[in-house]
Parts: sequence; structure tokens; C-alpha cells
Amino acid sequence: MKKVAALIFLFVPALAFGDGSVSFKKDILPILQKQPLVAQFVIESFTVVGDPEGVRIGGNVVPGLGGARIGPYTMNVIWHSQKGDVPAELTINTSNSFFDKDGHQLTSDLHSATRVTQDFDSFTLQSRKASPSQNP
Amino acid sequence: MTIATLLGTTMLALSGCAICTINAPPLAVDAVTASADVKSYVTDSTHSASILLKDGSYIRVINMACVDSGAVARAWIPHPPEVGDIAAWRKLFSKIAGIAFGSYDQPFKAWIPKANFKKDDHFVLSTSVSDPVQMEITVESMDESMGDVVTISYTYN
Repeated sequence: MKKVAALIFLFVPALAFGDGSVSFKKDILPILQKQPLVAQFVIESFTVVGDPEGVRIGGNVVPGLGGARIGPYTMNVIWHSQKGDVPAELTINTSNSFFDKDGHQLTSDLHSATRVTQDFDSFTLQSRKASPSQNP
Repeated sequence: MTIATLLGTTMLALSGCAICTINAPPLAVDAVTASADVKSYVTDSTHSASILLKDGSYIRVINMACVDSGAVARAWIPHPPEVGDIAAWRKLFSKIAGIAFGSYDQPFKAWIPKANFKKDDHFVLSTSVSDPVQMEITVESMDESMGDVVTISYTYN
């Protein structure tokens, strides 16, 4: 039987500027907490292993947001299933909205963006081989 | 661009038509909020939603249209029934369709009890029917004991 390697629920990121490490508690948890039950589910179901990766906005692309991180955020996790712990890779997809200095939402050219808001959109889960350092 | 947009574009391209003539069905938010199985949900557009169930299952539903109209629901089932327990699978399929599609699950209610589910090299279970509405159900297994992915879709041509 052919196994499905990835569980793809959606979202092709419209913006891909580069990758950068983020803090789960500082950068991702506040987004999830806009939907408290979703946040609770993620916290109860997964233990994050290592630093999550987000999309880093380049200063040459959007000067007003250079260095900022946006979703999707990908991280190694331990999934606490009913049958035991399973190493996995979790991706939190976000809906990102960009605004200029006057508060107008931008839909195409993001060069003048100075603020971005992020909301939980969906998650993607795929399997990950266990390694001794990540799954003792 | 979301998958919904991609699929809509694909449907348009395949049809060779230049104008989308059919609107996507509305999200069945009432069915989601009324379901005792739902723990939380997020609608990120007028046509797509993420639904978290109390048993830990997760459904992503996307409604779409162009020259056809329909929806697809992909559900992660962490603890699926045994492959041979067709009755349990039928119950699960009906539950997912009811939550994801609302009143649009009526064709599934009629079809699922008599549908002939098969196991093959690619899918744990699969079946489809195309008259009068095209419906398809597939079950795929994930690696590393991570459960199964159930995909349920319908299309009105």
C-alpha cells in the first residue's frame, strides 16, 4: 500500500522571501490564541522540538517590514497520540494581511507595507523519522 | 492564492471556458456550529474552513466553483477504524460529510450506505459514483502510525 507522506490541507504561500527561526511562544502562540480551542488543541497534542521556521520578509522586498516573520511556520513536533508519541512535522498556515502606514490593506504591491497581521488558517502534518536527539 | 483558487483555475482551464458561470456553494457554518462533534472551527474565507473535532480529528473543507460546483473535505483521522470495519467507515464518512457539507450531504446520505468500498494498492478504501452528482471518497494511510486521511468530494456538473 502506498503511504501518504504528507497531509496537505491547503494554502500555497503567496509570499516566500526566505526562512528564519522563530519562537513558538512569542511568535506562533499569539496567533493560535486568537482561536483559543485551536491553541489548546495544538498545545495538548504536540510538543515542539527545536526552533520553528517561518518566512522571513526581506528588507529589499518590503522595507517597512524587513526581517519580520510570517507564516507558514514549520516545526518538528512530537505528536502525543493515544497509542504513544510519534515524531512529526507540523506546519501552521496563516492568513496574512498587509497594511500601509495609513492603515489601508494592500492586496497586490506590498512594497509600502508597514504592518502585517496574521490569523490561523489551517495546519499541515506529515510524518518524520525519529532521531535519538529528538525522540529519546 | 489558495488551493480553492488553484482548483477553480484548473477547472476553468480544463473546460476551455473563459468565464466562470457557477458560484461556489456556501460554507455550511450552521451545520458546523450545530454539530456536537465539533470542538472549534475557523473560517478563513467565504469558501473554506478548518474544523477541529472533539476526538482530535481535523477537517479542512474548501468549496469551489467555476463551470462546475462542488466541495472537497480532507480529514485527518488520527485513530481510524479497522480497514475491514466497513460499518464504522460508513458512519465516519457520513459524519464528515454532514459536518463539512451541511445540507449538501444529502446525496452522500443516500449513496454511502450502498456504496461499494474497495481496497487497492494506493488507497485503504475508495469509491466513487457519477450520476447525477459526482461523488468520491478515498482513504489514504499516513506514515508512522499517524492515522489516515479521508478525502470526500462532490461535484455538480
